[in-house]
Amino acid sequence: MDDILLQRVRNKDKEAFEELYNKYAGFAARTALAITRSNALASDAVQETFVRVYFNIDKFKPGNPFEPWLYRILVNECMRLLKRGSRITYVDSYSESGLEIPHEDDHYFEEYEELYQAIGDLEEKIRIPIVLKYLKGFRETEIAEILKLNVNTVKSRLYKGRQKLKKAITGSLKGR
Amino acid sequence: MTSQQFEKMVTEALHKGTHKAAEEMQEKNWKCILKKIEETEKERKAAKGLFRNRIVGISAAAAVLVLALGSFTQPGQAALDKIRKYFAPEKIVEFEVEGDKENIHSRLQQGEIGYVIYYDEERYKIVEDGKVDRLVMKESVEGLPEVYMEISQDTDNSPEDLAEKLEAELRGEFSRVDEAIEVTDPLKAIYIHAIDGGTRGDDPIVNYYLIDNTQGGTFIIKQKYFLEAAEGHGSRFYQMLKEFTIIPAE
Repeated sequence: MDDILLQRVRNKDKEAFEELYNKYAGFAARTALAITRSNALASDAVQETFVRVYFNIDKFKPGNPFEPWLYRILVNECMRLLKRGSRITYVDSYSESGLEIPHEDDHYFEEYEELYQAIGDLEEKIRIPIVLKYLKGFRETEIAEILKLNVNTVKSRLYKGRQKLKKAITGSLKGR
Repeated sequence: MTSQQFEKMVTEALHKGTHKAAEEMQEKNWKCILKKIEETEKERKAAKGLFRNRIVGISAAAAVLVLALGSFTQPGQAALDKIRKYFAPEKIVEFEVEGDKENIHSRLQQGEIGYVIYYDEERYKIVEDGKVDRLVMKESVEGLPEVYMEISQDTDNSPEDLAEKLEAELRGEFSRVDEAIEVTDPLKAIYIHAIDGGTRGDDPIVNYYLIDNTQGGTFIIKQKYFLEAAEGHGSRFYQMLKEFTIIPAE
């Protein structure tokens, strides 16, 4: 299905492009939010990514999976904006978005909020593989391709990320 | 807690933490994307019209020289002797800058890596390091962003391969990187244009011209200046490139 849709986008069919956007924008935005920790930067990253997809679709090789290509552009864009905005203080949307977690019960709410905060506190090189794996469900080989890293480096960063998150969540549970 | 339970928690935390904000930005983002696409399409259409009006093809001098010197690997004395026959050490070149025509006294630069170019010696000088020749302002102005035009050669990679690599690099630094296109003006090359921002006078601009060196490699011309200087330095660099000629090495 994607092949036909992508072919239509190659022909600059705007309806097809909207269909493609609606299909992939949701998770792209979530990923950008989790990486940048800012609603404004995430919004910019998603917009730039889809504009680039539209104009550079000819560079995507038909038959290859589309999502790793899309996410490579997205992650590069997030990193570029983070680098560019490093001297600017943005409102930390991790604390804003924590309020969006439904209060099904207070204990449940706090646990997820703290874990989300802990993910945001991970250093960028560890946070990005964690987000790609646990938010989007990419395989380690796909993450390696997106980030242009050796798969063993990805495994090591995921391992370190999990250890840090476990430590954070255990500490928070003990503190209750 | 098992590893599976923990990993499930991480996934749920990420889903719950990003769900609402992502949903809220979806429609607004789509409108902005459409607007950006339409604006870029308009700009490209206008730029294509400009290129059509300026097409001059490959420099006739370059074609003659390639035929005359044949195929070589390094520029040597024989090639340099022939250069002297074809190129005067100085000449007056007509430049069109900011809408006005100017007759600029230009000097011949014979690059060790196998090219010649006439440059505006009133405003610029060339700094050589054997691998990269950099044309810089003769008198630098304090506080102004970087302005230069660099000429180098990559003997291993084709213009197409380099275009892909350079585009990816530029995407990491510039907010807008236009798709690489083939141009014939000011010379036959693959052209990449990138700008960061686009609203402030000091927003940086980088242009690459990737020229087939006819031996499987590429002459790389990089121009760097800033938005406000596009009509000045940008235009002068563009005019000077019309005088660029590859000297096949022996």
